[in-house]
Amino acid sequence: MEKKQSPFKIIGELALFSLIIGIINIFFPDNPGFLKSAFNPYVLLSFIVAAYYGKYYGFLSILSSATIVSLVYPVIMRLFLEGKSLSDFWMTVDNESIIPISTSLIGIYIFGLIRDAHVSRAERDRSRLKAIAVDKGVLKKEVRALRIVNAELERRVEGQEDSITTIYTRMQELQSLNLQRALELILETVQYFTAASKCSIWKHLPEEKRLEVVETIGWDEGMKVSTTLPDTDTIEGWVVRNNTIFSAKMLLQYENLRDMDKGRNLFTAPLFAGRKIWGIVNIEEMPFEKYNLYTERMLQLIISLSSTALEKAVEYEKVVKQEETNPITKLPSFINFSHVLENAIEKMRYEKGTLSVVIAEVRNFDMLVDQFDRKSVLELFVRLVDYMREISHGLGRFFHYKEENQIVMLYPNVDFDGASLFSLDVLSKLNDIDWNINGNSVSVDLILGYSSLTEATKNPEEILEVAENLLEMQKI
Amino acid sequence: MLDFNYLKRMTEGFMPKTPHTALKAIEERKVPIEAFVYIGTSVKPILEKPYDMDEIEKILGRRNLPVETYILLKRIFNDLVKSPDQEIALAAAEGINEIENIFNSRIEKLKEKLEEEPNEASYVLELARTYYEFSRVNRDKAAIETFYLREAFSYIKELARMKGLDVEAGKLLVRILVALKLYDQAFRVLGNLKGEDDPEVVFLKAQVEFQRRNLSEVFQYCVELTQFEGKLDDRMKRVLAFWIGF
Repeated sequence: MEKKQSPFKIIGELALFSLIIGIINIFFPDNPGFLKSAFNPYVLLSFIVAAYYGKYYGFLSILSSATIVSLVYPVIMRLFLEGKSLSDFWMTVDNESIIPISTSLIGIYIFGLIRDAHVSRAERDRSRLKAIAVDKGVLKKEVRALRIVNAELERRVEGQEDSITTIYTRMQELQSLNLQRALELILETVQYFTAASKCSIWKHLPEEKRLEVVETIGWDEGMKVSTTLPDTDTIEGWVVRNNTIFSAKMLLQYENLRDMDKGRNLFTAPLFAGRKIWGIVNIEEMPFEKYNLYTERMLQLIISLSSTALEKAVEYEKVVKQEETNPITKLPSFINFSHVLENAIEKMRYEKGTLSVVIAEVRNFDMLVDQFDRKSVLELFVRLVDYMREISHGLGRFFHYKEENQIVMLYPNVDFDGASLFSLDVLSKLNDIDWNINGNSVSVDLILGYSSLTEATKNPEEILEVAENLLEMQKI
Repeated sequence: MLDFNYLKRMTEGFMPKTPHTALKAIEERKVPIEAFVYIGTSVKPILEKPYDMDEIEKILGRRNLPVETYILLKRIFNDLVKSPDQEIALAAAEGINEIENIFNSRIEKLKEKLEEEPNEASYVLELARTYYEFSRVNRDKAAIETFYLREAFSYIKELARMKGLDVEAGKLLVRILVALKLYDQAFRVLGNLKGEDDPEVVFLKAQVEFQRRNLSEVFQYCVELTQFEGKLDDRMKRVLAFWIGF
């Protein structure tokens, strides 16, 4: 950027140039102030100054030249130029100065105006450039930020299939306690992470020494009949008996496996319910690029993560099969709950764990039954259980309680504070739900009572009593 | 290098709430770029449930997404269509429709170009490729997938008639045949394909042999692939690591 000059410096420059011209003028004693010449250096200097520094400096220049001519020049004449009369000098100035002075005044003004126009245009351009430079800086910053965000988003979108959150979400869904749904989800998750186009889950029936297909993906309808396989002389059986994952690549190494191979196994892995082998997952078709160590590890990871949920689902299935369940809510009865609670308390004492129960009661149940029908109102419990299960992260197990308008949730690994927080969470979230029966919006008056296992708890009745008392207190 | 100090000073002064306002605030020099990066990337993964419809629609709104992203979005929409909330189900159905429209309009444009220049082979190849990608997006519906694969196949045949099969078209044809589970035909095409110096061709041979369950042949092709060390992509390296520990 151009540096602005100090006015004193400019004035000094003007005086110096005028003085130089004045010194030169001494060598032309007959032409004081070059007034007799058509070419006048003083006038020219004032034009140049006006064009370069502006009209005011131009006027100053001519003033400075006039001062030198009228004050300094006569002194020099007297001192050095003998024989030259001062009256001649003043007469020349008198007669000849009008035209150069008026020319220079007009010229200075015109050159000054031109210069001012240029300066203001340059100023305008400079401000514009400055604004552009600022904008450019901001844009550079924005582009940098956008690049970072874009790269992160693209990575996140395209890396979805491998993400931890994906597997976590899927594993959370597994906690449904419904065995068939759990198996469906396990197989869907396997398909998701392995891109298998054909896969299946087989249940091992050790007493019958066979495996039975329970869930499939990509099978033709014609094949989806109850298919069984012996647990000997088959790769599926070999996997169950040896508790080892099978990979098609092993056929290149082991002759015994080659003998058993019927072309239906790429990956076959044992499926666990808790620590017990429950069956196998078999991948029959998958893209070649997905047949790699990473996929094998993912398969093992899915099976390992699903073992606890599968154990619960298997246990629950047993209970449901043995005991009567409500035909509408599909929830087991209170009698069943008593057995399960007894076993759970025993287990928790042994494991030194925590256990809570939460009783939920719909206070306006009878009123709703009067208004609608019993079946429709009971169906509300299905939704209620779904919400409560979601809030408990799939850990809760649900049963009908003593009264028809009550359900109870067994909540393992949660203490009294946890049960209290859970209850608050349920009440606040359920308030936001738009409950409806047969398309009619209804209000559900829900109260919750909870209690937890303590060291002092002697029997299941004690824990239930505390929860019931809490429930009763809310009715007062 | 971005600075964590912004996060420590987040409670002071103006705090943008959305990426858009953050960007505006950067323009006004109210916040550093860290504000935009933080807000812009603080998004929930789109596969996480409950799904974030705004985020999904934002991604769908971007043009020329990779086909993998369309597959992912379609999978989410297929799940959301079953939602008991009718508004969400409707939005999901619109999302599926939008994806189909994107591919259909690409196909229409290519067909128009091909009508104007019927001898332009690049349009025919691009049409076959677009149909193939469209079939992958529809792989949850076997009949539709097969229909688009057959369309892709017919354009490749057209291309072969026009100028013969070059390596690019040949590789696409093999992928189409593999998707149609016509492994023997795919193997024959690979046999006639020039491209000995192309690792992708060798990889496809291994892929086809894998589907035909000729595992010792797969192993041989994997050994062959090791000669292309510098040209292998991550996908191939993963497979080689598994088969031969390369």
